[in-house]
Order: sequence, then structure tokens, then C-alpha cells
Amino acid sequence: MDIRKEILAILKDDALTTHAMIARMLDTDEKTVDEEIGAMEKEGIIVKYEALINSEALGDDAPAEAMIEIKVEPKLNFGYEDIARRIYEFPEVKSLYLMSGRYDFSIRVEAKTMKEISKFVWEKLAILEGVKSTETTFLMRKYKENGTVLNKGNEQKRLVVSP
Amino acid sequence: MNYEKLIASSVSSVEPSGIRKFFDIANELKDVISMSVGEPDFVTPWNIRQSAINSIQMGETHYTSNSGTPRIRSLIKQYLSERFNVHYEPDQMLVTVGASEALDLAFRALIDPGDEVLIPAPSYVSYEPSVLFAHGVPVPIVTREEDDFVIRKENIEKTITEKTKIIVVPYPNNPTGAILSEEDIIDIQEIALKYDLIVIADEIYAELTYGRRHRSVAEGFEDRTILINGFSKAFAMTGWRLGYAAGPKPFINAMLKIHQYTMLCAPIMSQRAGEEALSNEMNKDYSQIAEMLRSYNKRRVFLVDSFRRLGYSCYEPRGAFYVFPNITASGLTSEEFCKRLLLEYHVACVPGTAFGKNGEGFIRCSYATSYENIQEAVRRIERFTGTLK
Repeated sequence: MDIRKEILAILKDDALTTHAMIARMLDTDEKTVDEEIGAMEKEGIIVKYEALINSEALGDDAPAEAMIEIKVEPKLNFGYEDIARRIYEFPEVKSLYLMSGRYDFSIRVEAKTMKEISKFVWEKLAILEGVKSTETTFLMRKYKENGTVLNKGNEQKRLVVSP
Repeated sequence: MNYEKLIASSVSSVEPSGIRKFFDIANELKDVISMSVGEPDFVTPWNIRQSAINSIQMGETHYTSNSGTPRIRSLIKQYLSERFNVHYEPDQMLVTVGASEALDLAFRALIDPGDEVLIPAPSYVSYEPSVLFAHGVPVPIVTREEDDFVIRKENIEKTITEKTKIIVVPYPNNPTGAILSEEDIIDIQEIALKYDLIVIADEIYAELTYGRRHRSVAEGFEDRTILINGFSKAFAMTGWRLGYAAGPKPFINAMLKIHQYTMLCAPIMSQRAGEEALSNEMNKDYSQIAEMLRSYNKRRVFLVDSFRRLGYSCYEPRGAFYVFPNITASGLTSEEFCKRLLLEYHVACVPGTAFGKNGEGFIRCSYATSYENIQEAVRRIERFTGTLK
């Protein structure tokens, strides 16, 4: 058993699982789990523990979100790093990936309203040096996030009692 | 007309399942948390469902060969050998309508009236009635909490007579969650050889073990064992009714004879789904099963620790998806405990007595339900326990 792999799988499913519980699940002692998790935190394997929020359930407080495809001109000596940094430094940018294919970056942007996102694109993003073009698509509904289905119907289809 | 009198005595003498009694009560109540379910709470994985849909779209709506499709049997051969080091050829296999059919066929093919069949107790509710329907004599081998609910050599030998023909080896066990160690397996194999017994190994829970890999009693003992398995538990496919038996060819042929005159074949779409289940899991290094196991494992640990915290002795199950705590500390019988827990706190468990007389003092709690449900059930059991002391 690869203990790190197992610990990560358990934490990915539920980051609140206690170390004592993980130790019980893996037939090991709590100290080992403490040490492994501590080491993985130090090594930057575990970056942070965050909650998965179904923003749709927030109603009107739900932020607007958009995916933006960006074509850029990488700079000599800096490659993509410099332009990537100048994009991800904006707090509106929640994720940024370098992609293969017909564009370079894919980013996910969050703001209070769609209007604000539009403004972000034309006022801040599109005019950045090195950005050749952007294509914004607004996110309409989230069905599944990080492997978890949101808004799942909770109907019980099984018999209540079976052998 | 006196209908009752006309029913065959082998049928009328058998009591209806003790589990069903609870079904009627539980069905009437609201907000019941059910820990009495013997099937996975997962829906069959999508790739498997999709393959059945494809099969129907392709017009595969006919009978298959009585034994099952050649592809599924060759996949089962590969699966059993790479997963459990058990070796049967495709012509030593029979694909059935659930493992239950395979079990029934095995009993009917082997039992002559009066033949004795050894069955660990407590055990799954079907063995005893199936033996009786086949005009055999079921003989319980008592297993105990202090023996980790495993059949011990001396207990087996005590039950053997010259009429003993078969020993049922159902591990990982429903309802206790017990599994067999290598030594246990050697003991059972030695006894089977010494007394010339046929082993019927019901290994439907083989994929669901925690912290230990399942060892099959059929390993190196294929020529004396009818191995029964299926897709219900490992692939969350209970409703598809798909199982199989593998064993010595003469036994399988005898079972095939009954099967071809009664069932003909397992549904073709279920067999296609089963092919996908096996080939996908084998290609992906059993990762879908591993994920399911992780989820079960957490619930298992939580339930065991909770019962112990509440002052009940609780054997640590290493297989299946049941916890079998000893509730004698409550001062109630199994049946009273379950009835009151259900009526007063709306938590459904099954009394150990549904699985044999010596299940008295225990209850079966299935953790094939969500972690949140289990946490709530434990809170209710805690309140219930508080009223008893």
C-alpha cells in the first residue's frame, strides 16, 4: 500500500477526516499519519484545505463566473511565466492553466456580476502587453466540480430492507 | 379447498425470511435511516450501464448460450486467475441469474434426500432454505465472536457424520463481516479432504475486504470447490441479477442441466454489462473498486468505533459491508433491540437471529448507506442506549 496515495485519496474526498480516523482506516498509527501529512504539507504536495461550495445554493449572492481563453505572445527569455504572472495577479482570476491547442491560457474569472467581468476583460485583461486576443464564455450552471456532482437529487430508490 | 395442505411440505415447513418482517414496519415509518440493506448504495458505474444500453440499441435481445457468452466466461477466467489466483477454464463455468441461482443449482445438482450440508452460523439467510428445498439437511457450524466468527476445525469436525456431503464456506461473511486467514483456509481444505466433502464457496463479497486481500478457499483446491461469485456487490449491480459458478466440469455440467431446463440463460444485456464491468476494471487496475472500498472503509471504522464507544463489544469486520455488534450490554434481546430502535428512533437494523439461532445477542448494521446517514443513525442509537442504562 502506498500510504501517501491512500492518505491523499481520503483527504481529497473529505479534508476534515481526522488523522486518528485516517490511521484507523489504513491500519496504522496516528503518528505516522501526522508525519506523512506534515511532510506533504511541507513539500507543497498538500497546498491547502478548502471547502467545495455550491454557489447556486447561495441564490442571489452567487458570484458570476466566466471561462476566458487567451492567446498571448510569449516573451524571449521569460517564456510564458511573465505574462502568466501578470494575469494571475488579478484577484478576479481564480485559476489559470497553460493549454495545448489553439489558445494559450484558460482562466476562470469570478466577480459579483457579469458586467463586472466584462469590464475586467476590456479594462484590464485585453489591454495587457502580450495579450493578443481573448474569448470570454460565461458559466451558466455547474453540474459537477472536482469529481463531485452538485445539486444531486436525493431520492432513495432502494428497498428499505434487503437480505 | 385447503390450499395450505396442498403446498409441498419442503416449502411450507420453511419460515419466511426474518428480514422481511422488518421490511413491512420500516416501510410504514417516516425518516427511517436504514442500516438493514444488503446492497450497495452506489448506482452501477456509468460505463457499465452505458454498455447495456449499447447492447440493446444493437438489437442484442436474444438468448445466449446456456453457459453464458464466450466473452464473459473468458473474462471471468482471467479475472479469477489474476485477482485471486484461482484457475478455472471457461468450460468449467456457468453464468447464472445472480449468485443466488448458482447456489440453488449447486445444491440441487449435488444433494440427494438426506444428505447433510454444513453451514456456518450465523450466515446469509438463503443457505438453509435452499438446502431444504433440495431435500437436504442443513447442519449449522456454530461460529463465535471470540473465534472471529470463523469456522474452527474442531467445531467443523463435531458436526460431521457419514451423511455429510457439502460444506458451505461463505467468506467474507454476511452478516458478521468475517474473513478467512490463510491458516483457516488450510484447515478447511484439510477437513474437506479428510472427510471427502465438496466445498461450496460463496465469495460474493470477495472484492470488499479492508486492510487484507481476500484469499479464496478455492485457491489450489479448484477440483473440490464450486466457487460462486457475481457482480452485485463488487460492481454495485444487484438489480442486474448476474452471477456465476465455477467448478469441476462434471458438477458444472450437472448444474447446467438444471439451468438449461429452467432458466435457459442470464439476460444478454446483463451479461454484456458484466463483460464491460470486468474488462474495464482489469484495464484500470481495479481503481473504481478501490474508490468504492475507501468509502465503505471509512463508514466501517466509524461504526465499529461508535459501538465500542457506546459500551458494546464489537468485532472488527474485515469484509463485506456489515458490522455485527454484540448488544447484550443493552439487556435486550436482538429482536427487542431492533424493534425498539426502529419504532422509537427510526433506525432499521436486522436482529442477528434472522441469520441463525446463535445470532442472538447481535444485530447486523449495514454500512451501505451514506456517511451522513450513519452519523445520524449513531446519534440515535446513542440516545436509545442512554435510555437503557
